[in-house]
Amino acid sequence: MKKTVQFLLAALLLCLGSAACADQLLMIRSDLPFPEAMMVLQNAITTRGYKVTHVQNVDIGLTKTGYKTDNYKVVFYGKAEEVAQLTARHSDLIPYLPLNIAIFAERDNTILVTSRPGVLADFFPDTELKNLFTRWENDLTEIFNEVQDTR
Amino acid sequence: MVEQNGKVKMMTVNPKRLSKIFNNAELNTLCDEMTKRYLAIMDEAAI
Repeated sequence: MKKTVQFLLAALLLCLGSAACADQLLMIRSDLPFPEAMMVLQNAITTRGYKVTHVQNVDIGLTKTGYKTDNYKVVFYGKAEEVAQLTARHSDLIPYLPLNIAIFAERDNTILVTSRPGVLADFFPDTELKNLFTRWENDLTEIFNEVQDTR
Repeated sequence: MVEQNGKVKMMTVNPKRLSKIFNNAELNTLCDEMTKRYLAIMDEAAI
């Protein structure tokens, strides 16, 4: 059972395309309850020109398979035209897109966590891509700050 | 999975590659296991 849970956690981290070292992750704690934090997050994403493409209900999947969990989702987002142009030239980026953020409840707080897009530069050492990853990371930092600063 | 220029490509993130930056021996083992599972799934789907 413990091994299965560890495996599921590893799978989630990998779905995020992420790293577990603290400096490879962006993570914040919001004082907002989960529903409000989710709303602020999606609003912060869209006001920066991105579109929320999918919300994966990790909690529902876990509950269906017998695990107890609080609210736990993964929000996928991106700019459709940008992704289409990018993946036409760099198809090996496809498994890492769209960008995503895990959001889960911890008692009365909400935690947001994702990998830094800059980590992708280790895998794709292309100057053009590096600039793009930097922009994604700056946008993501703004999004996280907005959620954290909202009371 | 993506179709480009008449060819279908099946791709995924390589857990083994990612595990290097996890810096966690226990996770490395799980990542190795996941890479094997991913390959098995992709092999089966490619038949």
